[in-house]
Amino acid sequence: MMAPSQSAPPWDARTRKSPGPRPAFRRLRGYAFDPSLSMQVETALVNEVVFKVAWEPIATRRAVPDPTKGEAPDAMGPPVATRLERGPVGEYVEVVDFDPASGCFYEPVDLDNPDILAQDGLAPSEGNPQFHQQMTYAVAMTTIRNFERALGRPALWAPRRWRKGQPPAMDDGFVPRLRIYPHALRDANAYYSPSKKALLFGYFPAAPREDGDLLPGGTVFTCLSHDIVAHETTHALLDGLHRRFIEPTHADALAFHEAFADIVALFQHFSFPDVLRHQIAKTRGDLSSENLLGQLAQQFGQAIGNYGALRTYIGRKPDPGQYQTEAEPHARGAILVAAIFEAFLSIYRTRVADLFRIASRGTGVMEAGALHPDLVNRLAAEASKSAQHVLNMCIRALDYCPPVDITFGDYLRAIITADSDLVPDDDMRYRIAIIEAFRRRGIYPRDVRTLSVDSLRWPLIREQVGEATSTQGAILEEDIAGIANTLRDILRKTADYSPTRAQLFANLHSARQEMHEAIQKEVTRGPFEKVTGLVLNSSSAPGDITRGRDGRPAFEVHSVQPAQRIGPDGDSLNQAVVSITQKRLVRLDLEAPNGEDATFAFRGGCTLIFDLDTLNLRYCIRKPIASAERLDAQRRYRLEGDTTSLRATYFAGVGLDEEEEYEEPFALLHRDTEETRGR
Amino acid sequence: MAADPSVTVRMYKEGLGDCFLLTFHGGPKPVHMLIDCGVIVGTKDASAAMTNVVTDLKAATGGHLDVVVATHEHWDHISGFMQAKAVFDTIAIDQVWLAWTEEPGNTRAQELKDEFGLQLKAVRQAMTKWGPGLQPRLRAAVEEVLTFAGDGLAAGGPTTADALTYLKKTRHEATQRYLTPGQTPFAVPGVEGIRVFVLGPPSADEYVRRLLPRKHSEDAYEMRLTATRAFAAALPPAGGPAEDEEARRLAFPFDEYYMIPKDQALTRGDDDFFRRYYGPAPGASGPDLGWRRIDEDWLTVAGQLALDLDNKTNNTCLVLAFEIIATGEVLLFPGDAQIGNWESWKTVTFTVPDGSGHTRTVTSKDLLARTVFYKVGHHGSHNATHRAEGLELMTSPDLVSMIPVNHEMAKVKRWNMPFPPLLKRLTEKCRSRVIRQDDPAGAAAAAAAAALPTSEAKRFKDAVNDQSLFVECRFPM
Repeated sequence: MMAPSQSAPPWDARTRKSPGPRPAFRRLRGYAFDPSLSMQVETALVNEVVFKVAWEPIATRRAVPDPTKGEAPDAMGPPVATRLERGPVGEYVEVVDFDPASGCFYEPVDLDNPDILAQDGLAPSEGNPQFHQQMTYAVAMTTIRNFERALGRPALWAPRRWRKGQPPAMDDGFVPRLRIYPHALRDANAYYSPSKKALLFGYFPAAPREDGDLLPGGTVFTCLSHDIVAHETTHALLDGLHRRFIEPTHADALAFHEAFADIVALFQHFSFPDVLRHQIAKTRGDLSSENLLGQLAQQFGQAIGNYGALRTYIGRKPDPGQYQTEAEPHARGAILVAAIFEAFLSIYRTRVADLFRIASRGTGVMEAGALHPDLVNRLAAEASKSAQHVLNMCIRALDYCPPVDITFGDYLRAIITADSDLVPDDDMRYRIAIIEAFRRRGIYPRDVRTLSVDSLRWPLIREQVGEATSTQGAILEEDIAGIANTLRDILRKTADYSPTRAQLFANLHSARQEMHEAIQKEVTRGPFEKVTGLVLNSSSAPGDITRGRDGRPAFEVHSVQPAQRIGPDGDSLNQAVVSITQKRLVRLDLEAPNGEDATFAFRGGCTLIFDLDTLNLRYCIRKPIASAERLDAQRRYRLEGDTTSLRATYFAGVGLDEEEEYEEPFALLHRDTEETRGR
Repeated sequence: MAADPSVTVRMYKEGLGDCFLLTFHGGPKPVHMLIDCGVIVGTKDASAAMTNVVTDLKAATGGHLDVVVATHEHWDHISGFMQAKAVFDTIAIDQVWLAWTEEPGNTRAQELKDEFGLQLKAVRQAMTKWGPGLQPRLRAAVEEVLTFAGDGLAAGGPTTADALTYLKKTRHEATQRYLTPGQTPFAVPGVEGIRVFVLGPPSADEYVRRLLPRKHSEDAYEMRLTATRAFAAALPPAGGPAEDEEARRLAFPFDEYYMIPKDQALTRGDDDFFRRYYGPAPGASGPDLGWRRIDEDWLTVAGQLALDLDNKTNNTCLVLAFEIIATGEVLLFPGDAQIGNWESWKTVTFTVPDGSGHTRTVTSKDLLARTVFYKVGHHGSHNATHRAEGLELMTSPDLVSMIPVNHEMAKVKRWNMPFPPLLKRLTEKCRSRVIRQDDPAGAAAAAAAAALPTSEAKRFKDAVNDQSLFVECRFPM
């Protein structure tokens, strides 16, 4: 409290000049789960949390170039705003509250309004659309921040594809903000639209079981469910990192997207300390028993007539046969999530074993009744840490995935490799826990001899090159050195101290072009093709490969990402990830008579992981474009498809396109009811 | 002179649709039963094709159908009654068999019809507002699904409701029978040695209730807002009847205090937030934000509703099993029943006399085990033949199946019929005795000859009569 004699500079609301430091966080109230838990005495206290969202403006925003007007994607305009706009519209997301079914907009909330700032945001309210805007903003921003922290770099949304130049070629335009429509649909659904770079949330009257917890006929807003908002935001984040993962090349493709989105939403539960302590106390530390942490979308699940949450990962007995037979994306994805969750439980149990030993005085039998609050706190801390670790492992693995055609087996290998690189000493046996959980569910990568950590890691290039003759090895080293040098130079140029995301996008965009030129020019020889599975020489190329203007097989440098991480021991990993893809336009149905020219885009490519300190190529994770086996499998999948729903009978042709656009892959997916899902 | 007792199953080749004539021989004169008569919208010269078929039908039956069965209200099963009405008018019909869901005066049936009607209306209204620019492939696919309801026909033409009215009311001289699963098995009129079992559509309370809006109590029917109704309420054009406006208001998610009508928001003078992020009011100029707008995206739920409606209607299919008493063999006609319908069969039991003055219980599992003829549901699509509780329970080594599919037509509509893995399994179970409507003549017999021992292949070949307008198979009674 300042003494009246001191004169402080007046606080100017317009220019926001104030003597103090900028706040680190904006506190916003919201639901840890969804409104339904506020109606039950037991959970009402912990259901409402305060999200600590990064204070905006995060960086000075500049006018976004409009590629359709011919503005170069990396052009920088003047700064446009210095505060969090109404909406809210910030650095990463823009909430535009349009309700087409009701034909109206809702007033955008101004989170900088002093009345709102002073009270940690608007009070949770189902009846006030502005709170819905606040909630979606808070949860989306929280999810984004967690993702960025794990990945170690800023998150970028998937670019907008547009045609430019003569003759027109596809190019990428920067999308600064993910759009969020909290009341977009009148439907029990919510989805991420890759073409609109937007999250669409639905609302609907509940039709629950009469003995359930919901008011029959009350409106359920999916935008008020933490789990659903986190899940959809993650689809967008994953799309930003791996644009091609939405292509239905394999039963695992969309299932992976669903699984990953669930994993992030699930583990985010463990970042609410009150919830964590409450549930740990309730389960007496046994998180494998019935609790809210391992379930998703309570209200939604009940509202569509389930007995509980939409998806639950508690008490699911692993069934190795299920992975062989289950084709429906949610159910299939749930197998992956269950594996990860089981690994987490195993890790948690390892970490808290000593606490239970102490608390039970070595007998292993805990006293009846409630746990001591200190013990609850310690268990909660361990649970939180375990969850954070597992989530980080899952997110970091994304850099170690192939650019196309991801399978669960690939992802397992990616997790193990990413973690091995960062944490050489796995004294808590995290990697073993993960392998075991996958094994129990029958998820095996192809082409591995054993399910050991060593076998599951992606093979080091050094190991592969060592097998080749010395001339080939030398050629390969030369080619790689050339590329690595170019890469280092490029990344030096982009290593601005704190570039804006727009600038980062522009830099990476030109980095991709430079890498493309470098590879085009420098690499034409066999060993590089062999290691990467790319086909760069015309002579050995399959006939249907897409070619560039010069007649040579075309390839796209799909992404260039610097990836710097700090391990738990303080060691830093200084890597760069480059992914390259190619395309063939192949016939869909070989048995169809000529003239039936249904084709589809078959893609291949590789992810190259360079060590920037030594300029070595560490790994190459490849999906060879010339692989007949992979082509055959994809063909069969597209013909027989996701065979379990009515949708597959009637809408078989929808969503598949050899061009770049897919018609809302997530919208239909989320809509299958039990009836139409079939058996 | 009476022929050897047998039943012939004749599948007409009119195109993608069902039209089956059963003839029971062995009595003083043959007894004829027609199960469905229709072809899908979009078939070339549909009326001519159906007239052709019905004319042949008339000749084959001597202008007299003992029974006409209509399994459910889909155009590809009943269009013939409208398209060839002139010929049907000259054919005598004794009985019409329909599912209980068609019975006038049955409150449950009426509620279902009302609910389905509402859903169909909502889908149709959504389609009028769903522009061609939004997800055109999905839109086209939904329009194709709607052809089952008769959409795509010329305006003002007959509807599926008209076809059913023809059978229920216009032909009032016939006796209409509304069948329920589990009812006492009965004889086909004029035929000894056949028992008819009714397996579906399910009539159990919990099943039906799931399809209807919740009620507070049995006597007070309260119209409750369901997800479908909330969606439907937003569709009728503004300024319509009062109850539409009332429903629209009821479905708003927030108090009207919060709502800013779209045009008003986009033309606000002092605040350009909406214009900047959603684009200018129509007619004004501004940056092109069209790619991010969601004006019509909410309508695409019509796709799911259309699928759902198709599924529910298929599940109201009348499912009949004809037992040949002497041999115990069963001919199964499930219409287009989907999984939900099939699964309800296991709760149905029948009591039949066992010949020695006592009775015994028959279950659907029994009937499936003795099935020697299976009329493949829904043109061989995936969801209309239950695997574990259906096809896999058909264990007779003499199983024959007929698929009323036209793959060319299905491809035009981009439908996955027949579903290749299902076809494969059928072929295995029937040991190649699968007769497709679109196969060239003799294909099935040839395939059987290759797969079966000579005597069985010959038996099958002799039982099949393959013509250009139909193919039929004879089963001794």
